[in-house]
Amino acid sequence: MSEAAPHQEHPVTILVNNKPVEVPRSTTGFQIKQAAGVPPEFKLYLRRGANLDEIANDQALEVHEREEFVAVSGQDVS
Amino acid sequence: MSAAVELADAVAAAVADLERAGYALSASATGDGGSIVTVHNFRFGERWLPESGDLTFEIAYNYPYAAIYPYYTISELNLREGDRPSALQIVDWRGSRYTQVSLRATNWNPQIDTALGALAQVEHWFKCIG
Repeated sequence: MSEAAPHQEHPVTILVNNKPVEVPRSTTGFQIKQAAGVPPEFKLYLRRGANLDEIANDQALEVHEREEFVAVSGQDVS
Repeated sequence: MSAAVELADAVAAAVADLERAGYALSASATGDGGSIVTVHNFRFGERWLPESGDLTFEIAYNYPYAAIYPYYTISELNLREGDRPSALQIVDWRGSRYTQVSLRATNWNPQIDTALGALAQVEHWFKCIG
């Protein structure tokens, strides 16, 4: 009897700055930035309705199809 | 949104991105390819009085090579408690009095940064300040 193939998780398509990006369903802020070509020092936000939550690089999260993220270089008071 | 036939392609795309993200906005052409965008009922959050209001900014003709800066909102905006943050100044702009929101993208990257992201950052700043 052959061994079962390791479970392959289907990637999920999320939106980063309105552009589709594929990531594993269980991912991190860093992985999302990597997949989207966003430098790790950029800030990443997850928009859920009226809420906008910052996602840290080492933060683990479950993502869902078409979930919306925003990446930005950051702004300072000037 | 108002007709904006004179917008540069990248500017028009940025305005469309903001609309797609659910912001209620009006946009007018500056005549050189840029746009003055007003987001209506922009949510400042419960720490602010009022909790929401118009937020206006210019997307310059050479966007995305120019960052979004500054932003203008209602002059009477204040924290419910505590002093006004230094990023907020009262200014006259286009013949009216506004609160200028002086948040500048110091490392703006035109390949990645967007008007949508800049606005999200402002939204987050209002939520977290104080």
